[in-house]
Amino acid sequence: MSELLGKKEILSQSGFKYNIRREMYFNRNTKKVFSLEAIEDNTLSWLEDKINTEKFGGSWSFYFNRSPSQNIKDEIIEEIDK
Amino acid sequence: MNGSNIVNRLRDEYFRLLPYICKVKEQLEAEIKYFLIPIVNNLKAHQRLVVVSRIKECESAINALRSKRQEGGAFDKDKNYSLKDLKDLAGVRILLFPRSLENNVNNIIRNKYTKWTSDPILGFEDTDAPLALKYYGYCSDSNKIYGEIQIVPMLTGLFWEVEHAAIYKPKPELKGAVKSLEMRERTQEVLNALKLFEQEFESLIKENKGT
Repeated sequence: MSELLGKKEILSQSGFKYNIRREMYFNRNTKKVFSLEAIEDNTLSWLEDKINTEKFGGSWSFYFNRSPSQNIKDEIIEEIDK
Repeated sequence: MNGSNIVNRLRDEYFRLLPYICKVKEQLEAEIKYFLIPIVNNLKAHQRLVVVSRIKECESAINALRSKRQEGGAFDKDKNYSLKDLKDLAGVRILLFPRSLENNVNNIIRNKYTKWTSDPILGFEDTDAPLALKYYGYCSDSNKIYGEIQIVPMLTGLFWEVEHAAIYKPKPELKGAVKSLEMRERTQEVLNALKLFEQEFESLIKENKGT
């Protein structure tokens, strides 16, 4: 299986949904957000590692190439955390 | 400056740039049609070469800038954005059938636009052959905005046009849907099927040469 298909499979199996407008995958249960750009630019094992990392606390984690500013994080959270 | 102010400023910028965008489009289309006359005049009955030009519409340009410059699909109020950063405000697409015409066309374009930057449209995986050849740079008459030239297999280009007419044109923000990993996999399957169709056709034409 190709790398990109492998990434698609693990995101889907781990319950991530795609947000068309933001071009990112997110999971409301684990409160994790991956930008499409970060998924493309990093390896499958990086993605597996980040998906499987235990999180402590209830805040959202953003896995982006460039960390988004707080106002963008707030905007995204308001949109997806409903 | 908040997100809607940035969008309003970019709309103003778009309409200030529009005369230059139109000029680049017209110049590129005329030049390329002229440069390709030797090929067009020698096409065989089953071969096609079509040159089309377009300008990127305002909302589409703003959306492209938003998704290109900022992960998360939002403008960052602390950053400066300009539509002049986009490489495809004005563009020409050269559609070819079959794709074996590509080498000759590409040689002409490379020779005529020597300072332009090559930026091929990549396939689903990095290791896949490019889907199309693409160049961007400044026209001789304008360094305000970039122009873009694409050399695209005709069946692929027509599929992209259908995709554009059905999805992006009515709602540009839906472009993000086609960028999802799920849709890219399906798109790749369509493009592979079109490529195989074309290869089969061309191979039959070669086998039957002279009959």
